[in-house]
Amino acid sequence: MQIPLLQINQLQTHFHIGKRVVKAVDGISISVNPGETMALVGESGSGKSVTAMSIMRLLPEAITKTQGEILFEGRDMLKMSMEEIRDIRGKHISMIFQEPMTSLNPAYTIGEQISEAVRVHSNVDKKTAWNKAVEMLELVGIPAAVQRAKEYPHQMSGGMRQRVMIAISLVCNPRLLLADEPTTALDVTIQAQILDLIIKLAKEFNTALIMITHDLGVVAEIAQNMAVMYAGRIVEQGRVADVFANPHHPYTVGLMDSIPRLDGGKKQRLHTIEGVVPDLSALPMGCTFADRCEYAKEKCREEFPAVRVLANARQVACHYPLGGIES
Amino acid sequence: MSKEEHLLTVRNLKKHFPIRGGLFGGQIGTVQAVDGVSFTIKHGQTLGLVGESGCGKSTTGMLVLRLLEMTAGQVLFQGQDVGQMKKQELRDFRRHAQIIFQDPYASLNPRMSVGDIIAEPMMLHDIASGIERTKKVEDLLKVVGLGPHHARRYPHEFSGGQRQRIGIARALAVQPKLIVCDEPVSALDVSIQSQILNLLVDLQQELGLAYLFIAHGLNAVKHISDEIGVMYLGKMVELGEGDELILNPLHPYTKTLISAIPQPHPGAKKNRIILQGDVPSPANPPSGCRFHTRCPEQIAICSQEEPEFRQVQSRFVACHLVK
Amino acid sequence: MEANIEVKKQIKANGHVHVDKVKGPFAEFVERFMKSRSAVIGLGILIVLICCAVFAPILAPYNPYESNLPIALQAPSAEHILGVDELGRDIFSRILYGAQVSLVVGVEAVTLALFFGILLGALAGFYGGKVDTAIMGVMDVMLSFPSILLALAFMTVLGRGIDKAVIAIGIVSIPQYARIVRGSVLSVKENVYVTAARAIGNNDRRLIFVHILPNVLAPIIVRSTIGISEAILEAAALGFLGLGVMPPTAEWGTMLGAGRQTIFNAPHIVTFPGLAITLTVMAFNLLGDGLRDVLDPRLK
Repeated sequence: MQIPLLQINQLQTHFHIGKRVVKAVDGISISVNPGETMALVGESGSGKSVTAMSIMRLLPEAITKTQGEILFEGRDMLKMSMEEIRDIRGKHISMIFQEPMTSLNPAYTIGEQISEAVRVHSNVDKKTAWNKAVEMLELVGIPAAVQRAKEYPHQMSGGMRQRVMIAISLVCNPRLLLADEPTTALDVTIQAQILDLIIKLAKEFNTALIMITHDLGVVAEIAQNMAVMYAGRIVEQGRVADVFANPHHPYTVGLMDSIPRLDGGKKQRLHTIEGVVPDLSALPMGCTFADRCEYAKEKCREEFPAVRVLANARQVACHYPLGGIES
Repeated sequence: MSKEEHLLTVRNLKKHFPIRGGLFGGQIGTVQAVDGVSFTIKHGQTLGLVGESGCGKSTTGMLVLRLLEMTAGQVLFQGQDVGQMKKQELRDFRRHAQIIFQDPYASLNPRMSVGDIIAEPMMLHDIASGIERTKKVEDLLKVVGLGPHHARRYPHEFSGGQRQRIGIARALAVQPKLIVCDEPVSALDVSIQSQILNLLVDLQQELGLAYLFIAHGLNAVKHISDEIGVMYLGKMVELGEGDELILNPLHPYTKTLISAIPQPHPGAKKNRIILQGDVPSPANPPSGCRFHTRCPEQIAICSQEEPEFRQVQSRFVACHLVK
Repeated sequence: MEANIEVKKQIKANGHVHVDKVKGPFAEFVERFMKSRSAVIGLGILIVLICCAVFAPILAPYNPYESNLPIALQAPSAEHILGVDELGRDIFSRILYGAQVSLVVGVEAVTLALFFGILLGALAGFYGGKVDTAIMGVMDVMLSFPSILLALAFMTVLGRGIDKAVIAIGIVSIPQYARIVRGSVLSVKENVYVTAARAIGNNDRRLIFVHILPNVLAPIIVRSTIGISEAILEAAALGFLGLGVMPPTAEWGTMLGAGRQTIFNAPHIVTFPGLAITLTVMAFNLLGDGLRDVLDPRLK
């Protein structure tokens, strides 16, 4: 059996804000093998971004309480010193953010920003780092890289900036890349370019990828495994093909049915998930989805469903799963 | 058929924004945000406008309602020229044509209660007063799926989807015939998007509303529209019946747009067309066909001559390749 | 849950209908005001100050204008709790009477400046273009002079006296408010809700007064609380130059000016009027801060 690159066990990330405890992530477990792509799917407030921030230890320590284990190549990142974490960040695990407009520093040229990333983690001179930066820019498909390296972020379009972000995140050849909605702010044709680029480079560098997205289309196109998050918990995970073919959790089903499809009928009623996401500081006792679930029974409101492990590493957290599993 | 069939007719609509600069703030160029767009909307029907950022679709929506002054062209609403309307006529026009915005967080005045927000259009147009108006506000809240007790609350107390419902209620308050929906679901979560789309379809069927539905997501546009117009850099490149246009796109840009959308079918065979480069700046659009710099099918004539937007069977398309 | 209670309250209140009647907007305002500690403290101090001014004739132990030279410059004592000034007048009494003048000068001057400042700033910000250039051009010219010099110039036209001083000070501070309002209006008018308001048929007047100005309140309130102290001090400066408030009128700024010469051997003469001004400013500041929060529905 393969040793996972990243294994998260029962991760809890709670924010203590005043007297309230916001349970942003509440006991999730996932594992990612080297070179594999895992998609974390969910809507706003599901805890998918907080999961990524927890892995990177980027959350404000004063109000954050994190429990569980985040094993990166067998070492628990939650037990590491800040120095060790800094060594991992950027070099072994790097991150791309949603907002390409604000994630680059406007005061430096993009060449400087990429070389900076090189020099933080390896002992090379400026010239070598700069050449590396130009090489990376070419790799991410920026034309006339030698000239563009001398430009500032504001001189580039959103798609170009996202390419620069990808260049920065891959320049140290990390083993894991966390991409937090990297294409959400982009236009469709640009999104297609960027997705293609990420897939191509991840393969080339043999980088494992955790893709955080709300777009099931993106999941279907680039991931092998997926985990569906709702209100801080993973309600279902498994291989993408399996989950799409036969979703077990009512939330997954609802999510898939509520997207208008290009091959769907005109003005046909869409499936909806009524209601809104629960308040993370006052979660219900039972299943967090029970209030919005059309199949919910009494048991759902009283008892939180344990994660069931099925064949093919499929997992679902539901008392009454759909799609032909006996309950 | 007579004019009556068309609620809205837009002819050769243009909006050029001046670019100012230099020492004395003189005009140093123009952004051709919308450059010669024509379409019609029938009573109770939906025209969807799709395109990427900078294609001018939102500007078109603002021009139709005269929230921006057009540079050239004509907008006819029930036969009346919107561009020529005087103050009073324009006020009356606002009773019949309304708008819903993309950002449900920014489109509601944070200092006004929800009740006041919905009542304001009725006050401005002398529709009902006193208790009757309050009753109407309650009814409208119910229509959009909220409760009467929400009237006293303020916008910040609501979620994005709920705010969008409030925006819809405000638009409905004057019983309009046309609503411009400017990216009404783009800022919402997937499960909430379907709620709002269903609501819009229901309202259309109950109240006979016509929509100009503007969005960058082709899925949502396809779902709600009778006809779809595809825009690129200020021009309409293709316009036709929705299902037909998606099944059999004629313009290379429409084809690209359709192929670029990630579809939730894992393992499905994909012939994705990946465009090279970015959308050119509308301040300096390419010569000839504006799409030629990125078009995978371009031929010699494309960079020299601008293709005419002409009818091909039941479709309108602007491309040299389409015969 | 909360919603349910509200509905029940509503039904109890009056059968059905008027939603707003559950709790009147004024009652709600009072309730929220009482919850804001800074607003209550500010208002409390202000009421005390106003009472001092109104009831000065009753509260003052001495005649504020009666000098008693033999005891001039005497430090605070049992008879004169805040001491006496260089002419032997009781400082406590003078501060009480001074409140009458100073509070009025401060509030009136700021009200005047606010009225025109908001109007001009809103017009400039809302319409932009030539209107903006014209209005802000005048404002910039006014700002380029030291305000006291400009006030002096106005006084020479208007003539002497406290009321003239108030007008001069008010006019001179218009640009400061106009600038703040213009800046805020420029950013607020870009909000989609302003376009939304236009789309439902609001005219410009309503757009400015109903949809834009309430959303620029915060910086205006903060600025005007500081403005009140500035106005009091400027009135004093004008008095010192022989315009505006003239000695022997009891007025805080003038008292402060008069005490300057003896600041080393009788510091109490400047200390107490200074404290009175500080207290007033603090009161307005607290009230302003509190009001800003109370009036913001987002902080409910």
